[in-house]
Amino acid sequence: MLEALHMLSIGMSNLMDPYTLLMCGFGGMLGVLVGALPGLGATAGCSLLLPITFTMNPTVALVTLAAVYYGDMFGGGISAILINIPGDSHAAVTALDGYALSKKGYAGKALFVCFLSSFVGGMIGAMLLTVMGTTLTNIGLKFGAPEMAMVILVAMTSIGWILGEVPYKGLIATGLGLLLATVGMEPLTSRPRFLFGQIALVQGIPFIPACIGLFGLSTVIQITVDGIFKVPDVQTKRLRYKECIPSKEEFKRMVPVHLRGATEGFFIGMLPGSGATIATFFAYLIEKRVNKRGSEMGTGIVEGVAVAEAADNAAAIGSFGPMFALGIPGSGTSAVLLGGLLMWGLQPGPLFLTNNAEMAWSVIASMFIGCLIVAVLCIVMIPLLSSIVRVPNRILMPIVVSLSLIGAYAVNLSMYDMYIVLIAGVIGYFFLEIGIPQSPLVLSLLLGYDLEKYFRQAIIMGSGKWSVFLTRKLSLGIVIFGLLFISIPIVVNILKKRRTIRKKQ
Amino acid sequence: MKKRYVYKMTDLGLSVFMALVAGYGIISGIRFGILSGGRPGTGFQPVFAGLILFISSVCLFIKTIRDGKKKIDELQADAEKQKKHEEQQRLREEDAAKNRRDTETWLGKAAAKLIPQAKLRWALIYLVGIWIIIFIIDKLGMYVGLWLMNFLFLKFISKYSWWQSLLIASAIAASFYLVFSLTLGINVPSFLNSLR
Repeated sequence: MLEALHMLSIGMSNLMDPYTLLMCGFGGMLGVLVGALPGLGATAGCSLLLPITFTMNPTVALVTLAAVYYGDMFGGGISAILINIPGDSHAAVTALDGYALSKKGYAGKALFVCFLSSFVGGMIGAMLLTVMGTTLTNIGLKFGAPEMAMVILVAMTSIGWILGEVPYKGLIATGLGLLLATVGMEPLTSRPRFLFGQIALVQGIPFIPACIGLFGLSTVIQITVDGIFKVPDVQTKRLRYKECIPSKEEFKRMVPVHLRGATEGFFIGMLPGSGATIATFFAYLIEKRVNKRGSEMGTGIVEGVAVAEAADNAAAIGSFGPMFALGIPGSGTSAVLLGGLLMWGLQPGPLFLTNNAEMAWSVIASMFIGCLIVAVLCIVMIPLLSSIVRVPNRILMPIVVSLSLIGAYAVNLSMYDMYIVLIAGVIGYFFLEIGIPQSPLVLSLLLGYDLEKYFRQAIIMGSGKWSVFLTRKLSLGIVIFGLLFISIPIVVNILKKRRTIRKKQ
Repeated sequence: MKKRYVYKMTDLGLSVFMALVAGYGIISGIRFGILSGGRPGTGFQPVFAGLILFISSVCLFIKTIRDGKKKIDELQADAEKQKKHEEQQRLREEDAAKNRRDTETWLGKAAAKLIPQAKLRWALIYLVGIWIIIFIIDKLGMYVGLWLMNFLFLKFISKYSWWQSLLIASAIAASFYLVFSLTLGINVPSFLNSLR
């Protein structure tokens, strides 16, 4: 650990060069921009910047690209909170409470919590990466298909907490999401399913356009149907900075939420192939279960935004762990960064951290400073950002539709994604009208493909034996955790009821 | 007193529709093959998802039927509640109308003649309208399509004047061009390319 701190101090001193600091801030703000614009995630941001960084010193280039990655985590929440369109897939969770807060007139506060939590999540993530990055990476690598399948299954069992007022409707959304996740090529043999003659469906239903439609376009349709002049504008008066800052009590409530969210997010982010989106959903669902105010999450409370943002930023930073320690990308964006390393003539792999220690530690050090720079800049801009919700609905709605369409197109540069937004928007609108919650559909659409892939891989690993989930120690541990996770609240409830009956008697 | 039954028709319709979708998923899954050599096959997940969907649809159907068996006095109480709610709604709308412009639009009135239910009508207007816009985007370019959509939205739904609609739509299209094409260099379908 002392060695790690020593290396971190060397990294910090490397970072004190004004040009590196400037590029770190620039990368962070570019990340915020691409994060806030629907459809353009960190992967797109890094890919756009990669050719420009070719002429830079590799350390500065990597610091800049890393800043784009975590800057994206800050920015993703902005459009999710203000207009209910997640800027990136991980921000779909932020939209649940963030937009609800916005509708209540607390857009400024939601943004403040979003940036603060991203910052805290980033800091905790960077600390964990410094102190136990290599150890955790090695544990993470022991996660095979059975363990991943069980992690996803535990997350799926928690869907019960977001099923809404009529649980059957929530289950319908879950089943539909799982069924839609099977559209396209199946994960193991690439055999096509449910294509209906549409070749574009081979890649499956794209997640981000589906999210944009379900959350963003559906809201526009609902506001227009209810009467664009009848529905009150979200915010009419100018926002004062004081109103954006959460109360003392809210700050207190957020501390454990940040700690839990960031730790869970960091660890899931380290698992190869998981990424920030799964981490964010997982942390949100766990928080909903363990938090005292969990039942209120989804209706617009700061905890919902805090856990999502802390988890996604920590997960983004966590994904650097396997990349530095073993040369394995933890997410799509770190895969682009690995490509960058090759471009600069560096060899990613298990020896990267040893051969390029100074460079790697400069990047880790930049995460502390970069997160601080981005958080300060974002918090300063809150009044400017929240002025978006002061735009009357009559103008804001067409802008949202335009942003939905161009954002969806930007994901894969495909016209087909625009049709997905449209269809998802109309389905989302009917869901809102009939009272079907959208979150279980989004969650099962996201996790369904991975669940099938890991589940089937696990059975193959076990030579066809379904007991593979119980014979591996880690997998068994997750199964036991999942069972406890499900049964403890039920047992506690039964005990509480018995106590109340006894007291009455 | 004779019992009357009131069912939430949307919930009944939803459960029947979803059960049919689930049935399709299950049958397709069986055709794909649930198991192959004792291992989950291509059809495993569709059958699993279809079963969740089917069971929850049946449960919703049964729940809706059970909830629908209300006695007539409950119905009367509901009717009174509804009347009160409507009265409150009317007063609120009158109040809002003092400060805001008429909510009925030319587009809404015209479509009302074709499809009676307001919500379904608007959803269809969106579906068809944006479908046409996407077609236009494909043929004439992104910014021309978005400009046209914004102009029509601002004129016929937001009820701005011709000039205001023209100016705002142009400003939106220009700012999108500035951010997406000039700053970020995203290659969107363009009008010039469509001419070639």
